[in-house]
Amino acid sequence: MNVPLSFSNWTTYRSEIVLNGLSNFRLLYRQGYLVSAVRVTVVYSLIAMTLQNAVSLGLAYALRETTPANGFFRAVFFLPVLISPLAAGYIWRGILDPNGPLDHAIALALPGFSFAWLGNPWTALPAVAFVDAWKWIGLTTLVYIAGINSVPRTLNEAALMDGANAWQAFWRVTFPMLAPAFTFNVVVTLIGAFSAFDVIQATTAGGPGASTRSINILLRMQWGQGNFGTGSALSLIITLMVVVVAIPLVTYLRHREV
Amino acid sequence: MTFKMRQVAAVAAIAAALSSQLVASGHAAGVTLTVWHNTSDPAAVTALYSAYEKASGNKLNLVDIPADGMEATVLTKWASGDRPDILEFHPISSTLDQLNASQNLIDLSGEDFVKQSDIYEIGGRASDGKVYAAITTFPETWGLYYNKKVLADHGLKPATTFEALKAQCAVLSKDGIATLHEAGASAWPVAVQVLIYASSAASPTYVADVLNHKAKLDDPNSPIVAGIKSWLDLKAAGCYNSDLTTATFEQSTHAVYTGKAAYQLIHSNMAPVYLDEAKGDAKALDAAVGFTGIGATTPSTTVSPGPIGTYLLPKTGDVKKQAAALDFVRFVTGPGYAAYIAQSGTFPIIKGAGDPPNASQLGEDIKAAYDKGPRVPLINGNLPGGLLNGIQIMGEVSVGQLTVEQAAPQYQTGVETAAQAQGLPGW
Repeated sequence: MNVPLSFSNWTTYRSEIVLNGLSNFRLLYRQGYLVSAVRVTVVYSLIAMTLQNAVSLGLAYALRETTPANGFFRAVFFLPVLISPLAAGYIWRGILDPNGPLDHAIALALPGFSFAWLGNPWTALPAVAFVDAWKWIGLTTLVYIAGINSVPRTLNEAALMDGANAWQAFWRVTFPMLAPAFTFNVVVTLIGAFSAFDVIQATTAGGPGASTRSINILLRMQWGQGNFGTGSALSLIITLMVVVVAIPLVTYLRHREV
Repeated sequence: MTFKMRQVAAVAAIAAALSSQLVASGHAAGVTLTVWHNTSDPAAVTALYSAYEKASGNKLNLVDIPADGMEATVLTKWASGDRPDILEFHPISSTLDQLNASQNLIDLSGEDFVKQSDIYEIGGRASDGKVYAAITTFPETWGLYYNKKVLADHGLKPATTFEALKAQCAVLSKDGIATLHEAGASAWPVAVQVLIYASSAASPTYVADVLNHKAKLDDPNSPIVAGIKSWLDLKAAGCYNSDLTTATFEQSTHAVYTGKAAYQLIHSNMAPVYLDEAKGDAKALDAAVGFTGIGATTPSTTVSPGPIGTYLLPKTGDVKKQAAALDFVRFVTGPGYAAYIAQSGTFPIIKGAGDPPNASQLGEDIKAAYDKGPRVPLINGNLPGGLLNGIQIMGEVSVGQLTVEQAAPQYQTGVETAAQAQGLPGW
């Protein structure tokens, strides 16, 4: 349904919808919106995916044993997953405000410190991607814990007996065996981040300027101005990006699974 | 608490006084009407809703539309085919055209309230000339809310031009006071400043010239270009708050009320937000805050009929509900109007209702700015698209991502795109 609408003149102004070729894409390009939104979306996704997987892998390794203490911390790290993304965004908007608790904490060491993490064009995008990663880290951690615990302990023990240290045992033995979990987490986090909207909307609404204006944020802006054809075109672009990235990525990652 | 008690008492009084009139109208009770209403609705408006419910026996299901990004929220819901029975929205031509008024809204041109108000000379009509909006509230009068003590302490009089505002920066900045509190996180206040400047700087025929291809928004001497430059001049002069990219308009209100900033540029219908800031204490508000119009280089007052207390009636296909919605509009512009004016403290725009007995000094200031003028219409009212893309454009300008030369053509593109979508001849 979205495909023909992407190539149509659908707006609020008229009830007739007529196909108009590539006009919507040309208009978005001419206004400079398209390239900027794709760039923001890709950078945001890469930061969120990298941060989320790196941190959750470490957490999973630290919390791999099933003990009461680990059970508690697993629950704590999973809590953000249960929070609405909008609520998470609003919470972090408060935390990252120039008058918020983060700046106040830093000001204890650096008196007078005040920085608009979400108001600076350079830090806003990493900050918002961090919030996204924080929000979903509990989920990817659980997947990695399951993956780590499915690796036979005897393999690790054999590596250690052969003289490997703990890092080598993890990197050379456990990590390759984690490939299915890694594939799942990388693909899900990357593609999930492509569709980012709610966390960004709640924290910066795409600002400052166009610094965090992802494709979905731009889509909402286009719809908000009654330009549904261009909005649909943006939606199609996200779909194409997911297809173009997901298929090769899954194919590549599946090939390296043990 | 006192404020709420007063509100409840007012609702009861309005309902008691008017219930007999509604019964006499013969309208069927028990209909539930969905109202998309602005979250900035002041207490008097919500009290009017309650009064209508009690008087008519109908129920109003209020759906909150956040004040920030109201236009985007409404149009997004509208696009999905969702329709309220009553829509509280902008009554300017550009937005009515966006809703495809002739096909989607009930024509109110023949209603009595249209004949009894001059407001329909500046708003309420789509480009086809028909009235599609029932307006109850005094026109949005755009200008500067200012902190009286801050100005008095610095020996300053309220600025009535952007040039005067810039001159005052040098004095106020020395004491760490933001001259003009900007709200980048709310986005629209930044864009509006350009519109106010441009409205004042534009010739009376400018909008018509744009529509007739005699002028463009990105001409080097266009009022929009001048407005963007003015915004950047004030920024370069250090006139804004340091947190302009993260501040909201509510924070601007707080900053002016508490004296951390001298001015906020916003419209008169936001006066209730100031009253909230003063915790409902009208005397404290009057002592702290005043209002004045502002022009580009000479004093003027920009006016526009606003969305608060303005009602559009979408064609829903449900005859019974459409009749009840029309009944609501007739109530708020008829039997309920005088009581609404009395409670709201705003000045009436429909003949027959007297001035409010309890108008605040701030309200009097706003009325004085409106009366004093010279009044100029907000420039986007009759431009296709309503310059809504200005919110995005000025967001980028405000953080240096767009220059004036890059921004102005985008305003023009927005008008062209909307005009083509509208099917205007020659575009």
